[in-house]
Amino acid sequence: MSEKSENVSKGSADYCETKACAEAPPKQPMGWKELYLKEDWWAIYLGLGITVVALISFLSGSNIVKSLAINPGGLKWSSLGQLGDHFSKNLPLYFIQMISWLVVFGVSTRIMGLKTREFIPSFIVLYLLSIVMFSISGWVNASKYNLEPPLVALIVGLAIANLVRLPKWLDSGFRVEYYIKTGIVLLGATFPVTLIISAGPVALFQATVISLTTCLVIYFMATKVFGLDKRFASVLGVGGAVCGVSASMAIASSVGAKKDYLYTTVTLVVVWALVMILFIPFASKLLSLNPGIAGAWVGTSEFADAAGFAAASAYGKMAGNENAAIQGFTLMKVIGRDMWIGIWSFIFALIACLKWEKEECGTRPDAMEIWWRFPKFVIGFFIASIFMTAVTAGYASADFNKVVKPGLILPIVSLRTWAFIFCFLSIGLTTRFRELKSAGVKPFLAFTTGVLVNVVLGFVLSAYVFGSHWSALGK
Amino acid sequence: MALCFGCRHFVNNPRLIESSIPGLNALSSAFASVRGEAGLCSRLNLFLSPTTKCSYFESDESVTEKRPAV
Repeated sequence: MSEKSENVSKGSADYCETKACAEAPPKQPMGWKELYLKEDWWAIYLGLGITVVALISFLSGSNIVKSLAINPGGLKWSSLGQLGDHFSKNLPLYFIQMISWLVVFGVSTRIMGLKTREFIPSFIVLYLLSIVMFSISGWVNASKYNLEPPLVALIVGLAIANLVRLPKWLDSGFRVEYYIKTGIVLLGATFPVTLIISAGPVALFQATVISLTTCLVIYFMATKVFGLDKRFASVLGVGGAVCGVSASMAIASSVGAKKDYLYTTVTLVVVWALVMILFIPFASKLLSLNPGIAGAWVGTSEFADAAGFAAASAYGKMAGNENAAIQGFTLMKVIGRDMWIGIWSFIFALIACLKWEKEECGTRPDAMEIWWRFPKFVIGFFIASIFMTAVTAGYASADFNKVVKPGLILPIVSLRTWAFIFCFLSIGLTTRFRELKSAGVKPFLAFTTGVLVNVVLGFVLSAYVFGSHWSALGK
Repeated sequence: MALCFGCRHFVNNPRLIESSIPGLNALSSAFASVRGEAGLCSRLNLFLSPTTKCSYFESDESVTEKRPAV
């Protein structure tokens, strides 16, 4: 008998044992309230809003957005005096920029239900740390010592979170997912839609191969070899195959998994994602991989968008072509793999309902689940890409490089980089190893087998099967 | 029809979910669309869809005051 079978009813009110159960009124689902209660939508509003404001500023000849997109990452400073001069000269701009971020993120998180009095001090800490990260990356010798901003931000965040006992309320401002989603929508504004059309099908095919293979390997190992519960196996499998913690959450609720199953999977995903952030960039460097190929490999084998962007961006900077690595990663992960979440969720809900607990299913899964579970920020990425491709289509190549790029594209890239640095720091600052759950040997081995298959298959697909395709990116 | 959504054991406030599962907000978020309205059952210790039904259901009339539908 399954863990739920003795508790979950046939779904009819007359099965209830209590009067309250039978008479309870139906409650209305969130429905379209998600338009202002979910961070995916806020990332879309924010990303598209910034894009439109940048465009208006550009078309009207104003320098406001360009000035506010300031960051010290490109300074190439060689003495602290140079760095100090930069900040003393631009202090008002940095102050206005911080207030602008604070307002847009503060208001939106307030509406979503976070406490403003916790968010404000937390975000100020995050902003100041981000300034330090940018300053390090702007050092003239930064690349010589592999001080890539994503890796430095991650390591500094991890060190602070694990060596200093930060108060838990500070997490209010360390919104990893919100920042990365906002960054991805902004990335869409600089991502040609023609590239999505030409490279998207290969990404979808590669993602399908990798997702199915990884999920089935983990599921098989977990159930047949280690005898784990099939709900646990499904949460582990989809967590490893699709989108880490987010996918685990979606599947756990679809199959009604124990909280501990989800908690264990979260731990495994976080630990392996951190390992991959470091492993894939340095392995790629060792193999002298083309950055487009490395980006696709990261997109195939990393577990979460935030972790993947850190790895892809780090290697892109190491290889001198961040754009190619980011493009490869985005096509594979955001467009290829993330699309699977809702579909897997619906499929496992059907299996759980029709096969695992045929007699005791609650409400039949609704195909609308695919939509409700869909990572909506991807829509924002597409809209931004289509919009900006259309807006800039009329410019000749020379005009684009001379006028549009410095006046419109680069400010958006800078603001996107801010969002990414907020995210990379937040990953470290919210990862407290002492709080992670002990996974147990069997789940660890089942998941790790899937990780190994995924990494090897991801490399073969990215470097050999579709190598010529991915190496053409970023040119 | 008694769905988990209206049960006093069902907790789907994103802040509470994140504090119940440390590490969840390190690479994801309970405020994400992919969670939908899923939440934790404090009675059975399960992570559930709000449309699940259960014999331990106990109506919570103050549910809307205690936690917004997020």
